[in-house]
Parts: sequence; structure tokens; C-alpha cells
Amino acid sequence: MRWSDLKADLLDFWFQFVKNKSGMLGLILLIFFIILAIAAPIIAPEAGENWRNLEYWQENPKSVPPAWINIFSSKKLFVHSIIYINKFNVTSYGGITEYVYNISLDYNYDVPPAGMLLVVNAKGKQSPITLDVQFTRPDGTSLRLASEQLYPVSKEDLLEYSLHFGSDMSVVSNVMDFARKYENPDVMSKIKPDVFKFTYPLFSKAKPGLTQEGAAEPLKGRYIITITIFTTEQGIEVTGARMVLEGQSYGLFGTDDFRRDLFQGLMWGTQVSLLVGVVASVVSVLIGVLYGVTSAYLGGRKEELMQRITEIFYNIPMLPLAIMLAALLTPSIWNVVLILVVFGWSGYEFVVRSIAHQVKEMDYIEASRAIGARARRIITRHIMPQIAPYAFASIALGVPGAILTEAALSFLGLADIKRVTWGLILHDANGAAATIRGMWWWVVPPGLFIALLGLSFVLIGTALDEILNPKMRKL
Amino acid sequence: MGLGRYIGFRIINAVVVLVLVVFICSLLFNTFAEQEVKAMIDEIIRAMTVGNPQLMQKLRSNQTAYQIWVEEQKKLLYEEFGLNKPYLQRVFERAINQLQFKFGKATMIRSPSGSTDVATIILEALPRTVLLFTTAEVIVIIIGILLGLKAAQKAGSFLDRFIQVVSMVSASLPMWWVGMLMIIVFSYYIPIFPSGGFTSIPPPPPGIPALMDLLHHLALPVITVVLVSFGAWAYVTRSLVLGTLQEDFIMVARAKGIPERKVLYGHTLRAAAPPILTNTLLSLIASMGGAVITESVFNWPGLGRLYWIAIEEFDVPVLLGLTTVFTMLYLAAFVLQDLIYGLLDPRVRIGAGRR
Amino acid sequence: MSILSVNNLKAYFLTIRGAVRAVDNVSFSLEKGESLGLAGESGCGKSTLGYALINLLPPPGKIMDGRILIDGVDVTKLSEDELRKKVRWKKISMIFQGAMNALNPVYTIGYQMSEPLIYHEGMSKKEALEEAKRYLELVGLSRDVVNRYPHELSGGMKQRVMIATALILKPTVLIADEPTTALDVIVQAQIINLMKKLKKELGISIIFISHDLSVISEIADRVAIMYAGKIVELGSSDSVYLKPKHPYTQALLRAVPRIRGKKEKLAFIPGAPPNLIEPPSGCRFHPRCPYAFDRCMKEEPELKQVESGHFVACHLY
Repeated sequence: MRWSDLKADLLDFWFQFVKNKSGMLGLILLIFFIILAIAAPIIAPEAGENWRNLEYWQENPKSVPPAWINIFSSKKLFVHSIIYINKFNVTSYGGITEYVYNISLDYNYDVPPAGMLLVVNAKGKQSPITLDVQFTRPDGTSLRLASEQLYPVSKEDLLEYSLHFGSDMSVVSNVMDFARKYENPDVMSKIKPDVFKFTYPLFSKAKPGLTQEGAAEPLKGRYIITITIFTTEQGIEVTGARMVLEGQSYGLFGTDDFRRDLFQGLMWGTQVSLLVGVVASVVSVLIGVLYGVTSAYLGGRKEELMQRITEIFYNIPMLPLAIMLAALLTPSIWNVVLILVVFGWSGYEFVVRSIAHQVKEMDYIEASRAIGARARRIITRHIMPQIAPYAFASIALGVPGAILTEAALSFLGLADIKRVTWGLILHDANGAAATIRGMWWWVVPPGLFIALLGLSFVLIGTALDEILNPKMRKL
Repeated sequence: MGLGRYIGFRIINAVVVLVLVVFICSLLFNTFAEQEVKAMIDEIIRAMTVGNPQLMQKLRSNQTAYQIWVEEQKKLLYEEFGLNKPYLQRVFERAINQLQFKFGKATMIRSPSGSTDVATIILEALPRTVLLFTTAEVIVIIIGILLGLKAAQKAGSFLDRFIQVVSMVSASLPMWWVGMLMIIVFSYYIPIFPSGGFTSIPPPPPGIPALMDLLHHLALPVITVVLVSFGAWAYVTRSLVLGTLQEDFIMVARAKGIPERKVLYGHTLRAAAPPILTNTLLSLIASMGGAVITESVFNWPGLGRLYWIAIEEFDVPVLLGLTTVFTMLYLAAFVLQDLIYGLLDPRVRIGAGRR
Repeated sequence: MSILSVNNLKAYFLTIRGAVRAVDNVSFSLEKGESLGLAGESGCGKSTLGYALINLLPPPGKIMDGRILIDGVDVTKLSEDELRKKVRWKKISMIFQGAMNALNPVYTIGYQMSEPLIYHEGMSKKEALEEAKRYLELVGLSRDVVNRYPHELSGGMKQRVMIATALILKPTVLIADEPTTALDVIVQAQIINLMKKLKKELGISIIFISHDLSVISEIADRVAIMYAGKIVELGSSDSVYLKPKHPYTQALLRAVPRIRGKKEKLAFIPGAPPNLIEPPSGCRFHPRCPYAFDRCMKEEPELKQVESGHFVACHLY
């Protein structure tokens, strides 16, 4: 086929495709997913490989719904925020260096943060620092949240100090002292410090009930959190700090029990689904085509033998063997692709072979042979063009099945350990009983993505079939 | 007759595949499965040593002599457990055992009745899977065929296009995910169904209450399977019935004065049945896998959940046994499909009567 | 009284592009024991006429006007229910073109033959099967064909089964739509002989539709030549074949190659059959007629009797 002919055919095909509404819808969906897949390493470069590294996600809130949920509910949940401090007000006197910073927080929520975390970074000699945190509320009341010494975790000369407010006993007792001034003594006595939701009294109106989740009334307005750090050691310099106010909601798709940003997981998962789905489908169809054409062309006993082999492959149940193989080999996406191809090619072979046979019986093939055309020429010039439409439509229609199977294997726990996949997210959700806990943001989006990506290929494939099929009837 | 030979061929085919699959799996998993036994042998030797003060003495004083003794014991025990036979022979024997349902003992899992025998574990779970799957598929078939027939009768109508859309969408849905959705909606937000399990705790008294409880637990999983599967059935039925309605013999049937209902359900459906059944049974077989995974979402104690646990615990004997049983079911479904096809379409039968 | 009388029958196909006037104002009658051949080119409306008689026009076909009287009853006025119960297959049955597909592949021959008996006569399955076997013998097939499936029979055998099935309720009129077209000559001859025998023995009235004039000449007592939805010539076989009056008939007969006689070039009719949505004005044959004159373009000719029992629709007469 000449290039100009091919170009004309492609353009013609494209014009027909654009007219097909469902095909275009499928294409748009597909483009959306491709963009997601490409965006993953750009927007969240480290998320993919760190999915199973729980340390990485430490500063996210745990098991919270997406931030946009506030649009729909009257009770505004605190959105996760991290306040970065780069420059302190530094004063030195008598061997002591004092770093001060005032965090100004405009609080307009109904549900306070789930927790608070302060991390201080420093450089130099390993030594403790003294931290003082003053909490000033819009109603004028204030309390000293923390006043204690912190010990660093160090990596070479980089030092990191952290204070988890909720799990620090002195902080909790400070808050309880503050609350005691306004709370009902009966209620106060029943409070257990280790499950105390300390942020409620901090962010609620100073009246009885402020410690109880249901009874506390939010105190909206401007809060000032004053951070003061003292160092006595000479060889140390505080370089920065960050205050993490753990939200009750986070990001586009919320977080799971392991504090992982589900949006990032979903983005990275797109790569796997697209890759596995498309590659598995393409290779399966290719093998089916080559095998089918060869077998039809060889004919006779050789063909019969090849057919027997195909039948056996066709009859082998994919799932149990896929599970066995996936459990046995190192779970990786290429192994999954391999499994999908091994169990997938036989279905296409039957149809290809019958098409090839039909073409072979045609008179013009005999005529070609009579002229002296070699087998290869007959195959490429006559048989392949008749098979091509079926092949392309099949590739598109085969992708959803591959995606579903990969997702199923991931869901069972056989996912690639180095990557995130949508099935894996659902696996974790199922294991954490997310369904009975109503964590819809963990359950719905991954499955929805699987369905939508599959649907996009179904739509495209059906459109391809409609457009290309009538030409097949030349046979 | 003709049907018998036809089925005979299909059964032989199925058996060949089964044997092949079991053999391949035995080959792949032999090493893993034997690890258990080898670990157990090491335990035995250790126990023997600890319980025998003379041996303990030997262990402390003369390392080499002790090692020689250990090797000797290993040789004896390996022989007792058959580990000294050539590799292929061990694989072969394992395969034969699999085919006889001698699956051995599980490493981690216990059946509800407390047994560690893999065959027992699997065979206790199997009927529950069959119950769930069969109930759901019967409902799917009935709904699918009825809807497909109606859509074919009123081609181009809203119902017709609705079915086309539904079947396309449900082809891309993971069944097990839909199950999770069902739980969120009907167990969490609108709590009318239990979120999983087979019976309530504590189990209700036997008889009608037990039956109602079972149905209550069966409902969500069955609804899940039905929702995801009926679309394809309806669509295939509709296409094939439409095609059949164009055939000459349908016009002849009408010319003969046969009532329209008989023409539709008798002649049309009956003639369209073979291809409808092939297409849809094949997809049914394909969905067996999905349904099985769906079980683990609902904590339905069937093969699916067993798979989930076996993978988590990496209990190899159970995995191997599950593979054999599942493959048998799968192939049996194929043969069943061929049998039904042969019964319905007289053209495929080989044998006497051909001109 | 004639057992079948068709008066001014109009059967059109109502398509988006317009009404296809497949049968346009056709009238004829059929006597008891008589066989009428309906001849013409493909697309002239003869098959449509057959379907209209049994009221099984495929959509978008519809009987627009006219009467069809079978045994004195106008079947165009009957409801679908009455048609099904009283007329179809009982009064008038049909053998279809291409028996290949006329039998349902999943039912036995016996079942398909028994159906009319069970539904119309209320016979039991056993009785119906017995009757079916009798009819199979009648058409020259062995009795155990009842247990066979359609795919096990040859084309000729299937056609015989169709004939047997069509006769099983002893209908008044039998319509045979191109019954021999799909068969080879030898089987064709067998079927024709069978039909001749049945006509003699059972005294049934047959309407034999075909484009093959030679086949019609074998079996028909009277012949009607159709062109573009109209009957252009009607008469006894002898008079039409030996003394054709209409130019179209003459041309048709000339086109049939003969074994004996001088070797001549094959004659053919120039032009193509007309568009039935918008047929030519006046006489529909005029564009292709070598004798056409002015009147032919303006006025539609009526069927006029030119000799006893011989009618022509042509302005030449």
C-alpha cells in the first residue's frame, strides 16, 4: 500500500469516527485518563514508589473524606493544612538564641482539626531545644499549649524535632486544665486523657460542653499560635519549621487508613491500568492473528495440530491459573501482562483462522498463485487487509477485559509491589472494612475509574466495529 | 447416539485439559509445597534431639558426628515422606493425588469444623459458592431472556436502547466493586441488608427462620451478580432473536396459522436458543471468576473467600487444591454447555441420520 | 362459483421514499381443480400477489384496496384472529420460494407437519403424526422422515415436505411460489410431476408463481402474465403460449431458447423493468414496447376479452 493511499484511508476513517457520538465520548474519556497518567510523575513524583512506605504519608490526616465535601455539607470539616515557617524572628542573648514566630489562623469551620503536629528543622550539633507554644483564641482567652524540651532525630548534621500534640501528655494536661475552667465538672471527671479529643476545647466556645464532640460550639475567628524556640547550644541553628493541622478532610479524593493521598494513588494507578490493558490486548491479538494466519495457510495435519493446541489453551480457566502464577512469580505488571496474553490469544485465533480460510478460498487467491505470487505476498497483500478491521476492533474491545483481570488480581493481593494499582487500593479498602465504615471516598473512585477506563475502550471499540465492519463484508 | 459421541468427545477434551492444568500447577508448585514438609522434618529432628540427652551431648561436644547423624535421619525421613524420589516422579505423584482429591493438609487454614484437611476445607466451601452462583445465574437468565425478547419485539424502542447501554456499561464494571458499592448503600446508608457472612450471629433456629436468614444474607451478593450480568444476556438475546425473526421459517410458522405467542416463544426462541446459549454460557463461565472474587467482598464463606485467605496466608496446599477444583468446575461448565447446545441444536450431532 | 376471486386488488409497500405499487389493480378468478400460472420477470409483483392472498405481506406492505374472496368470504375484511384461525393454511396455504430456510432447523419434520393439525383441527400429537406420515407417503417420501431434522434432507426432499405440509389441512387453494427455482432440473421435473399427480388425485386448485415459462407450461391450465404490478394477459395455457397477444408475452416467449428450429441469436427485451414507485404513465410497458403509439402513453389499457377466455390489456386490440 502506498503512503498516500494509506493517508487518504486514515483521514477518511477519522472523519467517520468523529461522526460517531459514542466513539467520540470514549475517546474523550480515554484522553482524560492519558492526561492523568502523564500527570502523575509531574504532580506527585514520589507518591508512586512510596505507596507502601507508610512513613512518607505520616503528615496526612487519617481516613478523611475529600476537601470538597464542605461544599455539600452544612457542617464544615477542617481542611488539612500545613503552615511552613521559613524565617523566624531571631534574638540572641546571654548564650541563648530565641526564635519566635506567630502563626495566624482564620478559623471558619464547624469541626476542628483531628490533630496537631509541629516539626522543627535545625542544622548543627545534636542537642535538645526548648519549645514554647502559646495559643491565643479570638475570644481573648489563651493558654500555654506546650513548654518542654525536645530531642532531635538526626541525619548527619540535619536535625529534626517533632511534637505530636495529641499524644504528648503535658500538652493534653494543659488543655484539660484550660477546659476545666469552663466545663461541667461531671463531664470533666469522665474524660480519659488517652482518648481525649483535645482540639475540641481549643477551637470551641468557652462554655460547658466544649470538650464533647456533639455539644461543643465552634469558636470562629482569628487564632494566633505563637511558637518560641530556645537553643542554648552554640553549634546549632534552627533553619525552619512546619505546623501540621490535621484536617478532617483532605485533597481531591481524601485519604485512607494509612494516611495516603488517594488522588495520587489514583493517578499513578492510571499508568498501570493503561499499560497493562493496552499492551496485553495488543500482544494477544497480534499473536492470535499470526498464529491464525499461519495455521490457516499451512493447512492439513499441521493446521490440525495447531488447532488442538489452541483449543487446549482456550479451555484453560484463566483465573485460578492466573492466581497461581501471580502468587508464584514475583508480582509485577509484566508478569500480569504475560499471564493475560497467555490466556487471551486463543480466543482471537479462532476467528482469524476462519477469516483467513474464507479469503484463501477466494478465486483471486488462486489467480495470484497462478501468476506465481509467493505465500508471503498473498498473506500481506490479500489476507491481512481483511483481518485488519477485526484486529483493530478486537484490540479496543479486549482492553476492558484485561483491565478488569489486572484489577481482580490486584484486588486479591497479587499486585506489583513497586506500584500502586486501582485494584490494590480496593484491596486495602476491603481489608480495612471501608464499606461498613461508610468510607465512600475510598471505595467509589477506584472502581469508578476502572469502569470508566474500560467503558472508554468499549465505546471506541464499538465505534471501530461499526465503521470498519461493513468493509469486511467484501468477503 | 449422535449426541452421545459428540458429548464423549467434549468430555475427553475436558479431561485432557484438566490433567494438563493439574500437571502444570503441580510442577510449578512442587517446590513450595515441599518446603512445608521439609520444615516439618527439620522440626522432627530438632524435637528428637532435644528429647534425647545423649544427642544433646553429642550436639555440644562433637559437631561433625552430630551432623552425620542429622544427615542420616534426614535421609530416612525423606524416604518416608517420599522426598527422595526423582523430581518428576514427585511432581507426577502430586498431580495424580490432586486428581483423586488427595490435597493434603493446609498449612495455616482451618475449616469451620476445625479440620486441616484441604479437601474438607474446600468441599465445605464449595456448596456455598454453588448456591450463590447458581441462584444468581438462574435469575440472570430469566431476566435477561425476557428483557431481550421484549427488546427484540420492540426494536428501536426506549427499552431496546436502554438494554444496549446497560450491557455496554456492565461489561466494564468489576463485579466485586459493585458488591462493595452495594454494601455501602444497603448496609451502611440504608441498613436493610447484612454486610456479609452466611448467617447471623448467633444463628437463628433451624427451619423457616434459618431459611429467611439465609435468604437475607444471600440477597446482596445475588443482586450484585445479577446487576452486572443481566445486561449481556439481554443484549445477546435481543440481537439473536431479531436475527431469527427475519428467517423464512418464522414467516412459514405464521402462515400456518400458529398463534403469535407460540411463534415467538416456540419457534423463534427455540431456534435462537443454541447461539444465545453458547454466547452467554461462555460469558457466564468467564464471570465465574468475578463472582468468586465477589464472595470475598461479602465474606461469603465459599471458594472466593477461601482464595483471598489462602493468598494472604500463602497456604500453598489450599491454593493448589482450589486450582484443581475450580478448573474442574470450569471445565464441567464447558461440557455442560456443549451438552445443552447439542440437545438444542440437532445440527451438531454426529452419527446416524446423516444423508 | 369460483373458489377464489380477486377483485381490483392493490397491495403497496409504504416506504419512506414513496409507495411501491407492487400489485396495482389486479383481478382474476380461480375455479375448483384448476391451476393458474402466474408468470413474469423478477420484481413484477407476482410473489407479492401470492403473499397478499394469504395476507402475509412483510412490512411495510399493506393491502390498500380490493377484495379477495375465498369460498365466497372476503378475507380482507377479517380480523387477524379470524384470519389465523379460519383462513390461513385451512383455506389457503403456500409453498415458499427456497425451501432451504422454510423449515425450522431445531424441530423435527414430524413436529412441523403436525403443528397445523394440532392447532386447527385439535388433533392429538399421535393422530397428527399419523396424518403427517400419510402425507409424506403421498409426496413420495418414506414415513420415517417424520423423525428427521431439516438439515438431514436434501433440497428436493425438503420441498416435498413443504408440499406435504401445505396440503395437510386439505386447503381450497394452494399457492406455490417459485417451488422449483432453487432445485436442479431433475428434481425440478420430479416436483412438477408430483404436483401434477396431486392436482389430479386431490383436485386442489393451485396458483403457480414462476418466472420460468417452461415450468408453468407443464402444469398450468391457465396462465396470467404480470408486468409492473398488473396482469397484461390472461388465458388458457394453449391460447397464451401458442397465440400470445400482448407484445410483452410475445417478447417473453421469443426469449426462451429452443433446442429445435433454426439457430438464431438470443432475443431479449430492451430496457429494464420500471420503477414501481413512479411507474410510467399510461400502459406501463410502453417504454419498451416495439408497437407503442400515442394512446399507449396516455391511457392505461384494460383487460379485454379477445377470444373466448383469453384477455389482453393492450391498446392494439
